[in-house]
Amino acid sequence: MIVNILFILLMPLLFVGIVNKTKAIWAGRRGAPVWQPYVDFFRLMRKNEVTSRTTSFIFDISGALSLAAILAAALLIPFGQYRALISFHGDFVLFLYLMGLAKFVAVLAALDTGSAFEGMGASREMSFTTFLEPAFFLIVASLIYVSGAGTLSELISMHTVKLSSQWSLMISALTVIALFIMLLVEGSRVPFDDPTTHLELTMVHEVMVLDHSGPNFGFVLYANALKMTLFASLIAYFLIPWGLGIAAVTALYVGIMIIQAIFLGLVESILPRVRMTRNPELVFVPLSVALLALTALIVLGIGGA
Amino acid sequence: MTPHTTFIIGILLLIASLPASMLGWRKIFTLLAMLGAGFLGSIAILWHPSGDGVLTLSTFRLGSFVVELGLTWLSSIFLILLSAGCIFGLAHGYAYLKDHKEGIRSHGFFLALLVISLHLTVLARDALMLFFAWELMGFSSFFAILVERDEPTWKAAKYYLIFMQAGAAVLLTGIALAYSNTASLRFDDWANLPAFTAFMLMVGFAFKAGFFPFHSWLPVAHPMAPSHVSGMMSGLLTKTGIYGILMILLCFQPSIESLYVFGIIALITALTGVFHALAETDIKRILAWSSIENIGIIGLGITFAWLGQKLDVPAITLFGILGALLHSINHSLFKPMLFYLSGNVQHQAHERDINRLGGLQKRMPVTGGLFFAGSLAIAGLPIMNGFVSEFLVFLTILKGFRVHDVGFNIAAIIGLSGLAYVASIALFAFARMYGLAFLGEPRTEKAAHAKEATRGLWIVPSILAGLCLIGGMAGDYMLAWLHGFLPASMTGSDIDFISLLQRFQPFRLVMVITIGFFLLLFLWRRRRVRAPRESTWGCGYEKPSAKMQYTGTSFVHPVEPIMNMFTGKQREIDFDSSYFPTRLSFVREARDRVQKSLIAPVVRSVHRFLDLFAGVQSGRTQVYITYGLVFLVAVLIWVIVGES
Repeated sequence: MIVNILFILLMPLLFVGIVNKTKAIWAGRRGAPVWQPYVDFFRLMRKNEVTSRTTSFIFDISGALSLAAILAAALLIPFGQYRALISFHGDFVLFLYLMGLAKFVAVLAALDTGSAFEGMGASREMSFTTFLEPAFFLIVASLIYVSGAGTLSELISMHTVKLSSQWSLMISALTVIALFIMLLVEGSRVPFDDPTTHLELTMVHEVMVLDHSGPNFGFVLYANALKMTLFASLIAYFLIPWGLGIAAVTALYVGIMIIQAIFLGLVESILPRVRMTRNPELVFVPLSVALLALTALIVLGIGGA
Repeated sequence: MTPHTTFIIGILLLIASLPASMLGWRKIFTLLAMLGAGFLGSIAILWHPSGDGVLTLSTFRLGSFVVELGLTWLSSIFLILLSAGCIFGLAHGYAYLKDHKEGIRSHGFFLALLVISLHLTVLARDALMLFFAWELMGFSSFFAILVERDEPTWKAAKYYLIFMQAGAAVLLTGIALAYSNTASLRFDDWANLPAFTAFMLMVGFAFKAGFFPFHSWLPVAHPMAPSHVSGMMSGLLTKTGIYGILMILLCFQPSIESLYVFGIIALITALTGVFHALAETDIKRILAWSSIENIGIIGLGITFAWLGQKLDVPAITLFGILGALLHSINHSLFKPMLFYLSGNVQHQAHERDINRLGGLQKRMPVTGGLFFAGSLAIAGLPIMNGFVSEFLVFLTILKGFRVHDVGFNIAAIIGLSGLAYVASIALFAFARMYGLAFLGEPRTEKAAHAKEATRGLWIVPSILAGLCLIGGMAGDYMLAWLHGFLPASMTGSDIDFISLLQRFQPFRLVMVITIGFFLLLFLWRRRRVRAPRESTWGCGYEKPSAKMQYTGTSFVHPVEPIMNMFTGKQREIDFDSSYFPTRLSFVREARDRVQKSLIAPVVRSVHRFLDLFAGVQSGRTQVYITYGLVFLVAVLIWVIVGES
């Protein structure tokens, strides 16, 4: 349990740190140390804020509420061991809806500033993520079809990739691809969005939070990093075989997380940003991939329940 | 008190409210009508319905027919829903029309008739009474819409009336068919109706519920009605359609294929509703379309419940029917609340278009805060009640993946991805509605001068918001209560139900933790930060104006290609493409495809047909006298010829 909480608190910003380090090394720079995001985070926490005159109470509650919702969602995801802190049958619906709540208030905060840029960011963030919810549900559905389990942590961690079966390999690969693209979109990374861009017109997530500063901005950054970590953890537990000891699981988990962070850094270094108008087409990919996996399962009749 | 005395007191109170409204005693009228609705609703609570039992309240003979009023498990649930909704609607109507002078007496009269007819609809135990109540409901709501007697209201009300009559005609056909099949009008004798009869009856009810393609009256009639009436129409009237459909489904054995068709219709209904809600800019129209979406979600729950029965998986039936019923109840709480609040906006800002509103949260803090709560509920986000019922419908569909039946699995895939997509678009639509109408800077003078509504106009919405919150946090108590009504064929096993209720403990824990985290972060930041106020960051631009904000139209621009599949092409830009264009026109509207390509042509051809006879009407008395003479002569000849 303590391991879980420690991972929830420490992992997200470290994850971002590793991504940034990888990008720096690829570009031939030394780069900031991997704990730099922590330094930034605590610096923001100590700072004061400037708020827009236009804003109402929504802007005040949004940073805290969206971080709280994502932290609560993190309780439903396994971190460091097979079981999540809290899990119940159908908790994946709550998981998705808590993410939805976080997005809802973040979008409202953007609209609350009355800025054209932030309205644009909010509109983009909303439209690019509409296909993710069905995609996630289809992934969950195919896992239910295979294992008959009911909670998110069971569904994800009880899955074992069978190296001997080509179908199992293919379906697992499809699921991982779908989850990874969801990570890219939800975490607003390249090729959907560039977290380091400096022109407001080309931003998605960053432009939404232009008016956030100080602790409020810290909340936003942390929530975003945590969101990425959640999806990365889902991928990690999906790949970790079922039935290992706790030490092995934790070690494998940390390993896969680091690999994913490095991979993400490489993706960001190699791939260019796609054109903004292409984004809606790209976010369709996880949906179709998840649909493909589920259809394959049903046609093959692979199911244990 | 026995149910029978309660029933008689309730009916008498409602009848007594009719003259009270005609005399203009508004307080007494409202009180009588609310008490009457309360008494009628409490029958269902007093009776403790158990499974298949039927409570007969009153029977009387009408010609050769026996008319019967009574309750079953299904009508008990809807009776409570309707009478609670009527009480809230009447109370808010009193506050809403406080300063209104004209047409109040007749409005009260028809409002009371509407309340009576709503109750009679679910109390009816035979088709004769049901149809009487149905027609009474159609006419009284038509007159209740007409508080403002301007041209657009007239047009909308007429459209509504014609639609309701068309629906009633289909319903009447269904009733006639059922009578010829079973030689009885009593619902108790209507077991095993033939499929076509049941189909006609369900279509008749679908008109009222607003299922695709019979939905187009909702976005026309709701915006024009006074807000308490639109709230009651959207929250309560549509539910009588759901009630009817459920009742008919209990009366026959639908085939699996017909259930699939029903499911597809429900999904199309939900998608059409939600995409129109995303495209519209008028708050009340958005809410009306979102009612259609919610009816679709309820329809999906019903579909899977019956599919579960077909495939003999009682758990799916239990979850599905609970989901559908709970969503009906939840929708009858948050939808009227949002309609009432949109009435406050209209009162204060004299505007319903989100492209001309903005900044209302600071000007109307209570209305805005309640609207925020309502938006959370309607978008199905946790803490509020919308989540619980959507959660149940999701669980129902996901259970379909444990059944190894390919057809059912495919249905579950379509239902699941469709519902998830509807839910995420609903999130989009309601972030847009609340965000643009209440946040940012006011886009027009009218919005800038809006003031908070009077206290009377908050009371009912705040009670409803409180109920939504309780329903969201204590959903298991609601479900346990609903479960007590269900007949043995639907209750499933105890294990299924207990496992369903057990989920709510950890769920509540997560909710409490979320609120705890939020308070912790929020209060910490509040103590730490003394934020100076500056103008919004505009990339260094010094003079931001309210016109620079994103609008309801631009906000949905990225999803327009998908949206257009449901709402038709929306924009027409016309300009000369020279370097210095002198002419520019831009039209954008969200059209209802059904209205445009199905209803309008029908209306046109009816018109053309009737035009053939227009020449007969000349307006001259002499001509009419000649017609009479010709007719008399013709009759005379007919009689003489017939004699010989």
